[in-house]
Amino acid sequence: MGERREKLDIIKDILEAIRDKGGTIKPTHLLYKSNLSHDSMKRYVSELIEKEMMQEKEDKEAKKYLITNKGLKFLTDYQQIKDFTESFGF
Amino acid sequence: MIVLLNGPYWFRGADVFFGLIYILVTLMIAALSYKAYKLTEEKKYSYFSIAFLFLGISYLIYSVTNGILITHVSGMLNNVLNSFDYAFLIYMFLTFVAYIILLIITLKIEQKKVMLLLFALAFLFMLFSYQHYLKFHLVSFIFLFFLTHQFYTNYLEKKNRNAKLVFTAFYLLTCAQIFFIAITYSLLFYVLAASLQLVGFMLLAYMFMRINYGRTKGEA
Repeated sequence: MGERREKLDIIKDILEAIRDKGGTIKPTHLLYKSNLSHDSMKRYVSELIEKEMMQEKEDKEAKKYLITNKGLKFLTDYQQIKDFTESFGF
Repeated sequence: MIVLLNGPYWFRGADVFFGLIYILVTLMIAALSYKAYKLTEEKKYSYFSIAFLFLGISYLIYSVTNGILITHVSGMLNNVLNSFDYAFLIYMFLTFVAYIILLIITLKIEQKKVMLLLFALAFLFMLFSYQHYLKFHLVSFIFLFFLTHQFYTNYLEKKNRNAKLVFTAFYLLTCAQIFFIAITYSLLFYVLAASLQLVGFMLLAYMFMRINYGRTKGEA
């Protein structure tokens, strides 16, 4: 069994999934990629939308999620913060 | 009596310079932790940032006071400082608060009663102490010992070079406290303690550079 993911890792996985799909992703695809339960994913998505790291867009076809510049910045800074956290172990 | 001026005469001034390095390193770590807080909004990062900010301010007070005493900028100010141990008390206070916050975060202490107990014991010890210098280093040794042990456990778990640097840095800071206490036997121990402390902070600075400016490929 794998280690429990930290919140920081989950956010990174969600944003990375959107980025790797070219900046937009369907909710079902995100659910699969993020490896979260439906409820957990909804909670994280709401939080990330609130933090302006991603946006929700609804067109004729379906609902989609977009990564914002702030979300892309998070991915750049993620490794730095991850290294920092691991160095001190908190 | 003010107890800031220690060590051999020829060494005076060197530790003021060392202090400037400590300030720089602690503030850099505080800034990085604050950046982590802004990014994640997790409180542990803000507390960690505050702890290092307090350490930075405490070293600032220590260095400025020492600098004033060495250069004799103002005779009157020297008298005030010699009459009261205010500067050292503030230095002690900020350092203890910083160490306790670091302990709370790294040991993941969640019970408020335990937190209060730690603060209460440290402050009672600080207020009702006549040998401020010795007791400060003794209490610092205890706090740093537990922090070092925790960083060692973290290193064993993560097995990466940054964790090793943090553990080694805190190990040296802990050892430095022993030599600060040993100055009653020889003033040269002060030089050894200050040098160990300097190396400890240089290692933390190196760790900071590795995190900020990249690391070797394939390395954890």
